[in-house]
Amino acid sequence: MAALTAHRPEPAATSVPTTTLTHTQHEARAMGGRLGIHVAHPAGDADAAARDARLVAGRVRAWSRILTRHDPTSPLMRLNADPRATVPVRPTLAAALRWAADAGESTGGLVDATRLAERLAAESGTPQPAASSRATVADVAWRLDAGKPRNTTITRAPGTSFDLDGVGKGWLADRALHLLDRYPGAVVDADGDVAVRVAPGDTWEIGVEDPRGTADLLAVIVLTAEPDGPGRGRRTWGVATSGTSVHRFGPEAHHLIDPRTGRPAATDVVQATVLASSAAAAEAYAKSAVILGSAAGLDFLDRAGVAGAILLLEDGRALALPRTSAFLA
Amino acid sequence: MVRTASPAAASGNRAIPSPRRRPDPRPMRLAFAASGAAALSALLALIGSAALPATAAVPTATPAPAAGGANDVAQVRHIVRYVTLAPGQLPPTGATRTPSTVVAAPVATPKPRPRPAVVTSQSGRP
Repeated sequence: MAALTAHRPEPAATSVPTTTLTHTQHEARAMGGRLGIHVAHPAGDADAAARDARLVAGRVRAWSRILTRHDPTSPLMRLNADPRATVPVRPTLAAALRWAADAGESTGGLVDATRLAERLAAESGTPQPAASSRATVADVAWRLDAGKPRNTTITRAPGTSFDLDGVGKGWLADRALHLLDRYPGAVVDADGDVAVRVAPGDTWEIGVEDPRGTADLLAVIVLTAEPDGPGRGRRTWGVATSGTSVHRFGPEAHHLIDPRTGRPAATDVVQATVLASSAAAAEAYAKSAVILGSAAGLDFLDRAGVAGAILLLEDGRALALPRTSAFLA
Repeated sequence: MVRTASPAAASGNRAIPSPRRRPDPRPMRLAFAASGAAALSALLALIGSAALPATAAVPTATPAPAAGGANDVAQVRHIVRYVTLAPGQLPPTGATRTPSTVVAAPVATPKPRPRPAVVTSQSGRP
């Protein structure tokens, strides 16, 4: 398995002491959910940080309008509706599709952005029977050709429709985080998929929501950039959560499609939270763990080398990879 | 005044011998350039393979797409490589069984503390 990594190398360490940093927060709506932009900055930069957080939120909304499947006029849905075998795609959509390809490759096919038909069937409450789901890989093959800059084309089999809901939010969070590189630290929370950059000496705490409706959190992940900490000085992180308890459309219908059956995954994992090197990677791994179920999922996450993972099972147990404990409050 | 092309000719001394024909340097230059490019390519490939993490244990059937260079092609074929066996099931022919070695730890309830400003959750949470 090729490890999923952050989109860019870590920025060079800065030497801003903790005492001078303030956290400024901007909350908005995007991608059909919450969007939180948090900036760690020297105390005198509060106005600039607030302004930049708003600008980044606007950029995320613009990107999400390109990638949404909920608007028939979005570039993604125009691609899905295009009858041609080969279609030119604009840079943002091309980059997101490229990430979808990487995520599929790195999760052994468990993350599959071409399962729109199966997902729509699940959302209707009547998932496709397993026998009718696509069984041959040739049916879903697609190819992205990047020629000259801004001249990418995609070639796919007839009937292939893309759904970036499962891979887009973490990717957008990472992309937005880089827009805030001028600040010592920042967090982009794209509806629960979180990209984090920690300033030396600073701390970010990420709560893990308990989906059972209690006010308590399942856990709190503490991220620092200390060289002797559990992250060994790493500054860029991703935390993402995936699960089956929010998007439910019937007793057996939820939104996480198992590409091995074409149906909602039959799993004992209600929710998986993964700590990885980027939000995009964390999202892909969390989704894979839910699809695989607890036993195979924990094994998969262990081999993938994620920094930490917490799985809530349907019997109420919350289990973690052993190395996760070093990050928990 | 008429200037001659060569001071020697102008002085009326013996004729200067025609310069020796030197070999055309272009083929060698091309050869050096080609071998240099090949060496650089091999070096970059070596560095790239060394940069892969040690956890890259599962072979991949398709080449990993490059990161956005010119003329690169991302070929995507969805091949699911993970099959979870239910009790009593047998693995597909040729499959490698990877028994779980992970001993998961129960998650302790976090100590009471102020709710963090950032909370990860399933998307679409009301």
